[in-house]
Amino acid sequence: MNSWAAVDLPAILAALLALVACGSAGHWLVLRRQALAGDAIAHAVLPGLVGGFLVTGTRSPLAMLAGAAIAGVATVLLAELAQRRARTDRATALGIVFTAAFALGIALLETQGARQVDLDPSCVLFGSLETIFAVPAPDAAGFAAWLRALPREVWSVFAACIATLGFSAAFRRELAALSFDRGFARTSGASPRWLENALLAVTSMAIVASFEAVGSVLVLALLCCPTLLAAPFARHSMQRLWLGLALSALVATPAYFLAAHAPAVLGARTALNASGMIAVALAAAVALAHLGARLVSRRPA
Amino acid sequence: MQIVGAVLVVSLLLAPAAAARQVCARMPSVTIAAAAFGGASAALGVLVSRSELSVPTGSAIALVATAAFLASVALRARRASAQPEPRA
Repeated sequence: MNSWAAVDLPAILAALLALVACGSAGHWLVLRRQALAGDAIAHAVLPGLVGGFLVTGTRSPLAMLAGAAIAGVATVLLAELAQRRARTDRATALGIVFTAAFALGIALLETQGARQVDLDPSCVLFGSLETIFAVPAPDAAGFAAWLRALPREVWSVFAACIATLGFSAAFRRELAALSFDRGFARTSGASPRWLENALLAVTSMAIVASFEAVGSVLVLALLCCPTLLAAPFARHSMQRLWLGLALSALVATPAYFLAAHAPAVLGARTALNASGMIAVALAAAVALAHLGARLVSRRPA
Repeated sequence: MQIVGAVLVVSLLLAPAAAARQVCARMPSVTIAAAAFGGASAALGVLVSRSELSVPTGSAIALVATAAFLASVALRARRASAQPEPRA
């Protein structure tokens, strides 16, 4: 088994699956002008993880992930309540609620003896793409053995990927109607309330699953960048979704190699953080796409 | 955990101002009340974190600021129910 299949391929696979999961959920958030909800969910994950640990007393992944997903949805719903009660705008309410949830998470982590929980702040923020690798048993060879050796993070991101893609494809008409004209969505038979909550639940699941592999900073980039990258070129909502995912995959893969291998080629003794490099590359690609589109449209025909 | 401070700063940026908006009607008084809420939250948060609870200081301040926001929302709701104000 060569090192490429053991080290690089699983990490790229995790990053690309996270990109598809977060990108397709984030597409609808951006269209609905709700991108901050992704930020809020990504931070509310912390009290959810600690709460899941405190309630069940185990570090089983299912308990932690369930706690995190519940905390994510609860944060957004609480923010909506605060927005109505305090008559503020949505961003202010979200900002207050998610920072309070984050503070509560830290307070619980420090006071409830949950410090043994394996929550390294730098791992939470920057992810652990570098620790995702697949080394099959020496006697086993071939693709099936490699698949079995893939770490659990990759499989949970894969499940989230299937769920978000399925949701986006199955409800594309309803979601597009909801994004552009809520009244029309209601009168044409879709249930906006149900659909909004389902979108939140799916987003929360995508964030929680990806967060484990790629860290919260890259999750935020993956939510917003794909759809923004395709915005100048796409003519309709679904085209923007597909094009955004394809273009950002084309940006993210070289960015991984740039972080993992370019420093060694240049003689440096350390590699760069792959999650950070992918986030920077995606943001630069979005800026270039919008600048380029503006330059092209300004040129006289 | 200095990075965590960056998230909690957002709380101190928003919560005192939103709380002041609930209880004050005019812009100058909102500004002064927001500064006062922020300072009081910071002082109270430090006191809480130095007490027996030993909560980390940053999150104690953020939680106190959020509690002040909730209290001011409740206060405005009580006032509004006692004396219905004209809708702006």
